[in-house]
Amino acid sequence: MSAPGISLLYAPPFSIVSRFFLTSAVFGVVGSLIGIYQAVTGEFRFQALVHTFTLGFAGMTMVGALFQMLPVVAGAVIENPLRKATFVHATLTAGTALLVAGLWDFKKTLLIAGILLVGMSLLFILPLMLYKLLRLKSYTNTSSGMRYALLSATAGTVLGILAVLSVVGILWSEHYNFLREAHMSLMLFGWVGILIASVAFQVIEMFFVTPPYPEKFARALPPLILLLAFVGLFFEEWFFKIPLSAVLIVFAFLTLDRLRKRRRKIPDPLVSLWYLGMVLLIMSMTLYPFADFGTRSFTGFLLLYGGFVHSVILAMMYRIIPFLVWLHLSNRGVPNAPTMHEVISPKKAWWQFYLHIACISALAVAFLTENKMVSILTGFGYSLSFLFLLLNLSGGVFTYVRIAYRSDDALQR
Amino acid sequence: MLIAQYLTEEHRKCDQFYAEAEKAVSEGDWKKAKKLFEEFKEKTLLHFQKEEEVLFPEFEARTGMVMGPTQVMRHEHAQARELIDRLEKALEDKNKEEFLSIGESLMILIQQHNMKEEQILYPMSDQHLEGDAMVEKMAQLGEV
Repeated sequence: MSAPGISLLYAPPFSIVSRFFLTSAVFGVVGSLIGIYQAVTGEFRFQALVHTFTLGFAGMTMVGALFQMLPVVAGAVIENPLRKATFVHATLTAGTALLVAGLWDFKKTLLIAGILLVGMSLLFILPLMLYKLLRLKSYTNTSSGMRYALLSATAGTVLGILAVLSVVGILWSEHYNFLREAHMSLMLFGWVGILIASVAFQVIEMFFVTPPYPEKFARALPPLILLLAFVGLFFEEWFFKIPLSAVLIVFAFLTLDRLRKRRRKIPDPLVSLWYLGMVLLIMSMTLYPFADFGTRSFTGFLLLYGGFVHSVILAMMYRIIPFLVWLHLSNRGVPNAPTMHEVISPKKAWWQFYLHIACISALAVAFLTENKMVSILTGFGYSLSFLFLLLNLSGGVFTYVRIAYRSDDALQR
Repeated sequence: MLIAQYLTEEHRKCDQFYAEAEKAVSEGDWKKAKKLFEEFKEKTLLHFQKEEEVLFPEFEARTGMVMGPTQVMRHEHAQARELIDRLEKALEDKNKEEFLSIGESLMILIQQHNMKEEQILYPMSDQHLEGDAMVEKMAQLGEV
């Protein structure tokens, strides 16, 4: 009986979330620079570019956020989180860098070294998180959905490893295309899609004071997404992909409706980011059934879906970091610890939002016109946007370190 | 009635009181804001009182968990009270930016606190305590 009670005491150290978030912003900058290089030289290395963002930016953020969220949102505690996070973060960072370098021109040694490290990282932490969730006695729609997300992420990682082994010719070379497609489908919909939806079920209602999502829908959505992603994998005709699109579009509309009915009516850049994310999700899933894997319209779908994920991640980061700065300082007994807007001002969050919209618009023009100059400018825009994110997050972390050390000094005196 | 249901409903009501007060502050209607904020403060503190004076002692006595979840919840109540005091000061100073900043921190603190209570502490309480009797005792302190 003691385990769930004691679990409430754990607040994972601030350094865990901050190291994952700062690293992910760095990968965002690196990815944008790679984008500029490719636009300038005309050498298009799609997989290297995509994985800098999916693994380096999105994956890094989500794993870091789960360390923080699992104990609070689900009551699932990871023991010795700092040691585990240090290992996961180090292997994921090094692994992503090597993997991206390997994907640049499919160098066998780099690819294998990269996938080995990424595999060590993710196949250690994802199943562990899943195990902790499976041991819970009761579930909310959020913790229940997270199980499906973690299951998908684990399977998606295994498929990614197999895809790399097949592309370098170690095994199942003839199945490379299927492995790649299955990996992508599980990661995009099973992992990221389900995770964002599950988090939204709790976060949207509680933080913005909105009506709850319909209970049956929230319970059914995660397994349904996983099931439909599988269907789309084995039956390639467009009408088999419609159901998956439909459920995600319904989710987006329900979220928009909840946000519209929110009781907290103050203008909030983070609400605007959620709005934008949902509009991009609707656009991307409208395109999805008609975008065959590997075609240009598929790239369009991927960019829109990426915009959705990027928007939601920004909304989460700008909320999580300032809150944790206050929380950890307050836990240290610092009186009048700086609150949300003192850590990152709403003005900066608004600027991030406008910069983000400008980048998405530029990317759309670059994609549609295939104009070299616009592509280069888009790359610069994104570099600026990720750099701005990095500065704001570092500013928050720096505020924490400065005040925490000052209070330690005062205590010692 | 389940303890979980009774207290969860109070959480939702307090959220709505806060949302109303915050709206008035952002519109600069300080008179209305003061009235709404006082309502939020009174109801939130009453909710804390119900837990601290009725639920937590019974829970501790029945489960023997004195240094467990209830201690953490008390600590978070203290943090929330500190922020509510700071909000009141910002309201007196008619400092909109400060009010909204403190309010945002308070809102997240309260929501993550509520998640823990609703998912862990209340279900455990319902497992160990008599729901109807507990709800009756808490209701005697007033209505949120």
